[in-house]
Amino acid sequence: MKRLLLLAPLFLLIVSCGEMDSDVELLQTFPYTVIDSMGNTIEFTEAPQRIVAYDAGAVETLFAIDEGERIIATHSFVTYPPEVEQIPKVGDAFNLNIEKVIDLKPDLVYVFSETFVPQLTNAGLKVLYIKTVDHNFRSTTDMIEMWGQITGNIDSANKLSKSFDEQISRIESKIGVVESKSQFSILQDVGQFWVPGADTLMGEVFNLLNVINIAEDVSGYGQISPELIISRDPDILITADANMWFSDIRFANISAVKTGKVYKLPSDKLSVAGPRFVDGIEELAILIYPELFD
Amino acid sequence: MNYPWKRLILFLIIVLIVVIFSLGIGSVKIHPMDVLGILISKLFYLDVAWEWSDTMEIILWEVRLPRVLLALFVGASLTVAGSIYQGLFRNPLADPYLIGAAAGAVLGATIAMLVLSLSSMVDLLSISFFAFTGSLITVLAAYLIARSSGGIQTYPLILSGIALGSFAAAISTLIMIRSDPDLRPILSWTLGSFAGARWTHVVIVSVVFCAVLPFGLVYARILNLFQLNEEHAKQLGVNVERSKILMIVVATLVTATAVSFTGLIGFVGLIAPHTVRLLWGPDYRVLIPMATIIGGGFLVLADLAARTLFLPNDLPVGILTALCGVPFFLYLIRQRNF
Repeated sequence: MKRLLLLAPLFLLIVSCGEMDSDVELLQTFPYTVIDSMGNTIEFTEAPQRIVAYDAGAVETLFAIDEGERIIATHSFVTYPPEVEQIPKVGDAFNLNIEKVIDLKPDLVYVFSETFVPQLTNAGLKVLYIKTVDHNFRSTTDMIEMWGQITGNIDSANKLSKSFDEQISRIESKIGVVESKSQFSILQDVGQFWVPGADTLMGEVFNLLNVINIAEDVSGYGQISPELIISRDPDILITADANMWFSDIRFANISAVKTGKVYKLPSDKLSVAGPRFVDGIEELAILIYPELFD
Repeated sequence: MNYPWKRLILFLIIVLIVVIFSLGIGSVKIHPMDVLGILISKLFYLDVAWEWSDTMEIILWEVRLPRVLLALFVGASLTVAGSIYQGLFRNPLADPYLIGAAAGAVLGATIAMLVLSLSSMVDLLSISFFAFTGSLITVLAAYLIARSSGGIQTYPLILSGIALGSFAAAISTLIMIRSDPDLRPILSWTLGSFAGARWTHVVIVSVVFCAVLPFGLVYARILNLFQLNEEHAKQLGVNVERSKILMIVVATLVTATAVSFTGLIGFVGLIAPHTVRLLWGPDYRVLIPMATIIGGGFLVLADLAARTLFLPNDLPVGILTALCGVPFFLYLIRQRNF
């Protein structure tokens, strides 16, 4: 015992002579604990090497902080970054193939819904469940920082989350000059008049961009009548099928149609609450305020 | 026999009033005078003394009126189909939804939508045709399975209809899930809705309905004979097999056309004919026209509730018909010893 204690300072010395920066941070990282959405404490004593990341946002975040090689499986709706094509899929966004997950022997399974937690836990797997559907998009930075802690790559994560926040502030400051009386009204139709209300990620984005969501009184996503769309007369329409709006005589008198402001989102960035979400916000901001983003 | 013309006309007028009344109510308020003015100017090309905004005119003429009329004709279609099925199969529980016709139609329409868009009239007609084919296959299969189990009794037909309907619905769902994400909104078809109603739909559904209704009226006499005894009908010179096939085809055609634009709306074809039966007896010559009028009016009211109860949300009307229809169905099962 005595010998060990004597050796200890020497060991530290050697360590500090080496790659001092990263190792010192490693010491600060672990153990790291997360409280999951069921109130359980999940402790990490080292970075997991084999992660089943059953969530598009988590996959994008891990790749963005350069820890993507830890992912051993995800679900089939995840399409970004292109590297995920090589990653095995264990089901789609609603059906997790638990047997396959167990067979992969992961040291962490990350899920966004409670459904599969008991089965995974019973199988002896380490499960981290974060109910991201309740999040607003600003929580994206918390998630980035959490993944930084879990993988021990705090540096990259902090940089990424800082740039996310900065980009949002930049957008906000550009839009800050828009006066409230000249606000645009907006509606997103995801198909068959299903629209996001105020308490959705899109609703929050509209709020940030200083536009009025004409479906603000819808809770979550809901189907509304074309009558309401015509009478509430949005200045801007976000849709996958702009043609439908331009060719349908019911909508000929809507401001958005008359002024040609019926837009298709240029990418899928706003459909995943991950690091690219802020780029999606900026894309939408450019569509709404082209003159402010030259 | 004393044909109850007065009663028929009275109910026709009541349903007309229901239609006009429900045109005045919706997620957007339109003044009753404006409703009247728009209808007069659009229908009769007359100028009226007061004015309204273009927005009101579009909402009433392009959104609300086609929706109300589609509900009316779909309700009437499902009722005439239900009445014919009930008489033909001598099965008081034969509703287009319960014998699998509706689910078969949705499967056919889903397959059609894999290859077609929804824009042109030709596409819409092809969807109806696919729906009809799917529906006919399901109904015939249910009928043959029930017959092979020993005569057309009440429960075998309903059981095989429900089973085949579930099977068709499962395949439709599978196709939607495995296909391009753009088909997924059709999932809401499992509980039908009139939210997407257009004039083109109204035209197709009403034309098919108007073509099928006379068959129902002409064959009402034969349906009456069937209720007593098929042999008896044969002796009176009725070609039983040919009549049966023709009636299956027309009832299925009118079901499939209605369902292919709205999705599954259950129990309408059960509620209306039975209400008439309970009130005025089982004579098909009275039952078919009377039930058709009541079924149309009922679905207009059900859709009025669907589009106004939980504003701003638009509910699938199939929820409401099931909520009304299932207790009615259970009542029927308990009341009579089928």
